[in-house]
Amino acid sequence: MTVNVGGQSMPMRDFVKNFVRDTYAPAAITVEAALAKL
Amino acid sequence: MALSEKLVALFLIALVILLFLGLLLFRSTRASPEQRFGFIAAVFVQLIGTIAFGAVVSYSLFAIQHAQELSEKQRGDVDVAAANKKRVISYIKAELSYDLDAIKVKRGAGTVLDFAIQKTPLKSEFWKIAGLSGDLKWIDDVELLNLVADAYFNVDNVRNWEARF
Repeated sequence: MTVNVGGQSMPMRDFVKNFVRDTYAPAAITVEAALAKL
Repeated sequence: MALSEKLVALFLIALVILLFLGLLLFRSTRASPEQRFGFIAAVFVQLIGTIAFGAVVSYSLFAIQHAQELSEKQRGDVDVAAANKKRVISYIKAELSYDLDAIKVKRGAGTVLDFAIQKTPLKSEFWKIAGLSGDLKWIDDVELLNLVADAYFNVDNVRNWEARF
C-alpha cells in the first residue's frame, strides 16, 4: 500500500514511520515543559 | 455535650434551685399582701433579667464555638486539598517522566523503532482516570493544567500514530 506525498509515491509503512518520528519532537517538548512546571 | 450546652444546662439547673429556694423563703415568711406582691414582682423581674442575660451569654458562647469549629474545618479542608494536589501532581509527574524516557528511547531507536514502540508503549492512563474521577479538581492552577493537557494531547497523538505503525 502506498501514499502520495508531494507528488511522490511512498510506501505507507515508511510514511507512518516518518510521521511517528515527526510527532516525537513536539511531544517531547510539551512533556518537558509540563514536567518543568510540575 | 458541647461546652455551650453544658453551660445552658447548668444555668437552667441553678435557676430551678434558686426558684425552689425562693419559693420556700416566700412561703415561710410572714408578710402583708403588698409586701408579698412586691416580692413576687421583684422575683419576676429578676427572673426575666436573668433569663435574658443567660440567653445572651449562651448565644455568644454558641457563636464563638461555631466560629472556631468552622475555622478548624476550613483549615482541615485546605490541608486535605493541598495533600491531594501534591499526590495527583506526583502521579502525573511519574507518568509524564515515563513517557519522556520512552520518547527519548524511540527517538534514538533508529532501525529498531518498531521494536522500541512495542517494548516501551506510552501511557496516559492516570491522566484519563484522574479526569474521569474528578481528581483533577485538586490542581487549582489552570495554566499548569493547560500545560499538562497539551503534553498529554501530544502523547496521545503519538500513541495513535504508533498504533498504525
